[in-house]
Amino acid sequence: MKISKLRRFEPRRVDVLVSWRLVKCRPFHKIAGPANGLWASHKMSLHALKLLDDFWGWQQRLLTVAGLFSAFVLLGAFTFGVILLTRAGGDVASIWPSNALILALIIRGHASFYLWGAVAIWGANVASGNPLALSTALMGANIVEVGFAHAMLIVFGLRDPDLRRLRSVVGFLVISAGVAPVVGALLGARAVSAASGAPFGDVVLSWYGADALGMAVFAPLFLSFKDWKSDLGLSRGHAMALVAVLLGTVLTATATFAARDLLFICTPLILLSTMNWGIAGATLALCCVATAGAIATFGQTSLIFPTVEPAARLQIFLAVHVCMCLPIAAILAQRRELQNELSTARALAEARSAEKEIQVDQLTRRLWDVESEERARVSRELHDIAGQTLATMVMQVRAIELEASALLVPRLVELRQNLSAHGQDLDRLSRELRPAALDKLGLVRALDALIGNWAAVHHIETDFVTSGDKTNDIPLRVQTILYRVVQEALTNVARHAEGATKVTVSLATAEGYLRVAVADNGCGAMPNKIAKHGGGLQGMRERLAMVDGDLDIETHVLEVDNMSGTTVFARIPLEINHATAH
Amino acid sequence: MQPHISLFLVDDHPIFLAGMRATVAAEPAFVVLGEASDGLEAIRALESVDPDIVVIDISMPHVNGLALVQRLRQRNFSGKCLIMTVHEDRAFLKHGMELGISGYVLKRTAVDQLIPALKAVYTGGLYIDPSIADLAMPPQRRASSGASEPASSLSDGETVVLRHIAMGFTSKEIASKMGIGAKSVETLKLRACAKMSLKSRADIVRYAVMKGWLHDIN
Repeated sequence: MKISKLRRFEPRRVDVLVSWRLVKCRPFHKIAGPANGLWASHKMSLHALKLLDDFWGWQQRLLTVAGLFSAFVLLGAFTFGVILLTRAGGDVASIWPSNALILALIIRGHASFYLWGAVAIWGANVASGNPLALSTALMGANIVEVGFAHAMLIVFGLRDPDLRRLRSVVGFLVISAGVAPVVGALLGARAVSAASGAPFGDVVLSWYGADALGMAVFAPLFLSFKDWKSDLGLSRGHAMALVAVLLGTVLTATATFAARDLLFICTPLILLSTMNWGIAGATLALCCVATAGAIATFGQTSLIFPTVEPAARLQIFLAVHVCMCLPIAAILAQRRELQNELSTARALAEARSAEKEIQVDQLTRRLWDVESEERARVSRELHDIAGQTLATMVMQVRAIELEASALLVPRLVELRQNLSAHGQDLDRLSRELRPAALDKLGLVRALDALIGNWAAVHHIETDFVTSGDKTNDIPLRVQTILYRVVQEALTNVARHAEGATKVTVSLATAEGYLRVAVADNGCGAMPNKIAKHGGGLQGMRERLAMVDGDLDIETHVLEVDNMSGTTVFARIPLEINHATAH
Repeated sequence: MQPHISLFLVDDHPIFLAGMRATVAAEPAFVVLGEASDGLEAIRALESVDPDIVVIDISMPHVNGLALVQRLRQRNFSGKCLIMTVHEDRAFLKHGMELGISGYVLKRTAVDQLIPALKAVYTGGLYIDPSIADLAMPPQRRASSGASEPASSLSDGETVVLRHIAMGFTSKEIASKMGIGAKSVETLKLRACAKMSLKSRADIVRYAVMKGWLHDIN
């Protein structure tokens, strides 16, 4: 069910009386959902919260006139009810929430409630049968108390107290519930004392207790409306649980109060509510106890201090729990906020580092590509330009030789031989940079030559076997990487594989992978040696990772396995490389 | 009177080409029938002339030297091919010999080697530049047969394991492929190796080649 949009006004600009007419246009009835069980009530509570959010929403700074008017009516009715509840005892209430509501409204920016609050309290007093003069005096005492609390809050920097902060909560409780009621009590007790004949001191104490508790329990409740959404978590399960806990609290409070005065049994429920739903949960549970207690103590209050037992116990209970639960809720809220910040920061950092990793990865690939291209270019030029030029120069020197004097010939021959030796160096250098065979003849022939050279240099029997499909269409990048991996693996064998007399290099395409295995029959201690001396394993792994390949090593020791040697495996998926080939 | 040996020179470096021409011109036995500066040009020219020997560079635009040899062989060219290159690489030499070249000479030693090479090739010999003659020797390979006569035959599981080992699979991979534990793969491998007296992976691969399990990529 969708709530029809409320008409909103800037509260400071619109005169409440002028816009009163608009109130009639507000379709209040639409807000009430079908009353079918808990879910419906949850829905309603959602709407009520939405409405409250609209009424009190600090962020939007918008207020419906209907909301203000209902607040006014509510305040009047509320005050009237509380007076009626205490009337039976003919005395001061055990708890007085009206001032809390007025203060909350004023704190939320509705200063007009100095006036409307006064009207409501006065009206309620008159309606309940108090004489006009007494009603006026009581109204004055209450409004002055609220005003004093408001002024003190402003002085101490709590114009808008954030009840999720421990310091704000403590400050708010001390000022509005601790100090301000003294003022109200001193002023109001005079009138009450004069009217009823009760001793002034007793009335002051009764008044103070009622007002202090009213402020302590109800003001945080009203002020926390704006946080309800986040504190309560408006999911179905949450709402059900909250309702259950609150119902439990009410029942327990009523039962224990009426039966054996074991009110403290409510404590775990209040704490549970506080732990789960923060300041909103704490204040709601406390209100439940206060209301249940106030009803239970109906007719058992007195103006003479100390008030009769049950009411006093209710007050003490509430006072203790407010002082306990509100700070707990604030600490929890602070902790949760910190946790949120921390997790946000962590997520951000993780995202950043992941992004960095990708960038580094891309850069590495790019760097490697650039390096390969550059090596290939230099290698080509060494052959095609430097090598050819050198060969030509040899011929030119030979031509000079034929015409030169016999004296010069030996020196020219020496020059020719030097040039020739340089040519050999150039060829070796070029091949080391990048074997031309890899580009011109393909991976298999290039590897064959590499392995042949290696075997000839190290005098180790070496086999090169190939199997599977043709490797011609494998991207050049993959071919280059595999070539380098085999080169590095052979270097490791020469360096670290003691006692190797046979080496096998196998190249195979099987099951979507291009595989290379370089196996020796050495002592099998190669990995340890590599770990100690830092062979090129890491470099091989990094190169293979660029084409989504990986590296593995197996070793056998003769004494244990009845065979010996180390095998380095490299494999590169064929499909992905076709896709990413450039 | 020596017989005339007719030549055709293919090289994309004009100065070197001129140097070769000068070198052979000093010998009365040789006649240069023509020249080309890349493979394609050579193929076209060789349709009309029929030299005894074609001297071919490897690194050339369009069609490189070895590809040229291949094409000439496909066209049943009857002359002999002599490679004249800066590449001192086993891969090129080996591939060239597979294609049936008659000689392989390095440019840096051409002034000394060209004439003897041409003469050797003309008489039906194979001439490899002495500087790289060792590259033409097959490296130390397959010196001895790896496996001795089997004491008993391999089980199916042992065969599968050996075969995959030879193809370059790790024991872990083989285990997951066969759906058995890595330990079982090790056991099968060791049992098979013991049966066949294989002492290393190299032996296993050699055994696989002997068995014809590996099909060559080329």
